[in-house]
Amino acid sequence: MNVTRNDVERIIDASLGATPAPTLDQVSEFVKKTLDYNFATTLTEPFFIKYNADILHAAGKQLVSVISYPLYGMTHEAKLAQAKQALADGADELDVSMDISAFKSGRFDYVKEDLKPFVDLMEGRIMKMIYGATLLTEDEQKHAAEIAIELGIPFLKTNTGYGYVTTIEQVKLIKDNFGDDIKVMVSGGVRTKEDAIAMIEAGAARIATSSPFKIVDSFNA
Amino acid sequence: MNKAELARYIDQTTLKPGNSEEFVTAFCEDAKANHFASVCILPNMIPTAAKVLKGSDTKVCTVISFPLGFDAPSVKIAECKDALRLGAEEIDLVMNVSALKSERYDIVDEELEGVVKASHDAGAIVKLIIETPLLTEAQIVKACELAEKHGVDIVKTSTGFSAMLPRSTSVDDVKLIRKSIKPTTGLKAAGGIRTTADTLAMIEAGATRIGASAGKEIVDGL
Repeated sequence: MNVTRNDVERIIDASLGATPAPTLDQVSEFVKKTLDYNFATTLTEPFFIKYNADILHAAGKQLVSVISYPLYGMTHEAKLAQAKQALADGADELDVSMDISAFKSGRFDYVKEDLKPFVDLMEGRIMKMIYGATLLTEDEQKHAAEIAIELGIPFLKTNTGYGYVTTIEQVKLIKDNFGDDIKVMVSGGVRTKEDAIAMIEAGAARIATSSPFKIVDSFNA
Repeated sequence: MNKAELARYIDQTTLKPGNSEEFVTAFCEDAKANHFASVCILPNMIPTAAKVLKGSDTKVCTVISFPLGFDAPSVKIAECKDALRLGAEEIDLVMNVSALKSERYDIVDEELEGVVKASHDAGAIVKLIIETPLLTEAQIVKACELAEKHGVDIVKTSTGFSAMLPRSTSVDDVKLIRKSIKPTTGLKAAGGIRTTADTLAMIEAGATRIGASAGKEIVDGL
């Protein structure tokens, strides 16, 4: 498989990630820098959507917000309020965390009920379900994928980052078992061109990374 | 100070993603038996914790916009109201550190006004997490000023979300906050406090609450 710069660049969700508590200006600076690249999207926490949607949309680019992030622990009503605000502020896609506590407690009906309104809310826009692969057994990872497929969610997002590293095996597990029924976005630990290529070869359709510029620029080096 | 007195300082905390209901139930049973001040859990675990702690002297404490604090005021207020509806008695709100550092104090004012009012109306107290490891001294003082302006009950040093933070909470953080708030305002030290010695040093410096995951070991070490 010959993975090109373009193959990598066009599937990256570019995240500021590494900077804790950036100022509004620092976030906007980062967002403006992403305009020089052909990333799939730029990814921020909900608060920053409002301040950056216009910058990206004016350039024909898309913005993603995370929901119930990064601990998977918000209540249903709070998640919904957060998602509605993000969409009103201009988010084009949402990465919504599954309630892993409910999942681990065997309350699968609740897990589905919790997620279902988000599918409706998206009206065809892309939603990704963050299922926390690193927190789950292999059987649990497959079960989470089945739930997403049943609900019509097009994308799984492996992890949140913040120390949770996604492995090649986690990506392959989903692709081997579900093929084209669901796409996989890798999040957590992708920092180099080589990491990104390995994930694409394993079947990843998107990559979230806080090293987007470094990864893409290194193809020219 | 004896063990029973020390236990009343402790917010016994488990904020790991994916805790099962069974785990949280046992965690709360244990906290109740030890008479800790509260159990601090993620909002989706409030019903589970409330079931165990109802009527006991250990309160249900939860975290809002945790750990990043990057939500619009309206979202934080909605999350707080839902937490109160489900049975939260103490609200640990993560301040929008980005807004503070951007000198958008109007945003911090708005989130504090809404969260404090909703909580006090429901008979709950509010702790404002200001995230000292990410602030300058002047910003810590400013955050305390905003907390006082809005009647926050307790100023809390940090989320303790170590994957994001350059350091733990320090005794110096506690001393600076103590100087910057009224003597009657509470002060919760949290973030990297694991031993009895750590805990006593924080209390000596002016803390009135301690957030810790090892509450039992801390008390037993006295």
